[in-house]
Amino acid sequence: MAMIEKYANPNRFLRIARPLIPWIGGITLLCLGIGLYLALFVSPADYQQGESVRIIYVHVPAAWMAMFCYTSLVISAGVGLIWKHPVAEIAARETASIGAIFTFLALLTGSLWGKPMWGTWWVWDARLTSMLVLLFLYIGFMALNSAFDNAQRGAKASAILAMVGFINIPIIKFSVDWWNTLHQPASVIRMDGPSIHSSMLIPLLLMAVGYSFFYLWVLLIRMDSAITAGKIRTLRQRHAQA
Amino acid sequence: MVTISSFLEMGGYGAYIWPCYGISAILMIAIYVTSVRTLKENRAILNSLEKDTMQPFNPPNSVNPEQQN
Repeated sequence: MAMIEKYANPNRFLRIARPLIPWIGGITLLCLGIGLYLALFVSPADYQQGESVRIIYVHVPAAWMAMFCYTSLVISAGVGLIWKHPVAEIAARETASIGAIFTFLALLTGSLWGKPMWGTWWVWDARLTSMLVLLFLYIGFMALNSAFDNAQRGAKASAILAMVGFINIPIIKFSVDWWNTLHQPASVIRMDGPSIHSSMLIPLLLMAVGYSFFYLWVLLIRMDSAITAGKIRTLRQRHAQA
Repeated sequence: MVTISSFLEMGGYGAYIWPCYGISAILMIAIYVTSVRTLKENRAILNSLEKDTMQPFNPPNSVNPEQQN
């Protein structure tokens, strides 16, 4: 609790976050740089899918981040709702924009992978449909968040929507086990360990770490920006009142 | 160069692989650039507003670091 309250102060949050931003950016570029090199030049072609398997290195990290961002959006929005935590509310709002982009990229790269492998750009099966629902949840959250003149009410309403929508996350994860689907089952996060070879697993994990740090990087920049915008609003109100 | 063109061809899947990497890169760079640009604009506006009032602004619920000690 004490820790949650400690970071509720936007200025204290910024004092801690700002020095971290260049380091997080550096780790992002390093992971993505090595990851891309391994993905495009070193990792082998798949014996069934040929070179098209290389789409995995941008598709799977985007899909993981789509779900990770939504989870952290729900946690932030929940903390904002329960403890009236201003920094958590900002984190939820800024996470939504980044998460929506990752979700869109997962759908798009999946479509570009589906065409040569399945013979179709799109199919209404459980995994693809639940990912599309995730994109709509992000869009719905952003729309509801900014729909009210009173920002507090927007934060509250959108937090409730986000929490109800969280049911979709386990549905996405287990959709490939629960329903018959064209999408292949999990090959990395599974009970008996990853089933893909390390020559593909290492670039995949590097890209995933790079995507995670990219999220953190852009999130902190956007939160800094949102906190600054809040100060501008308050100062202008004060000017208007004076 | 045969090697470069065969690399770009990606065993016949180049038309699917490169758009995946390209659009991912474009969107991620775009959100980074717009986020940094907005931050810089906001900081400039805040600086000029603070210059008008001649004191750095902290929200009412916060403690001014200079006053803390």
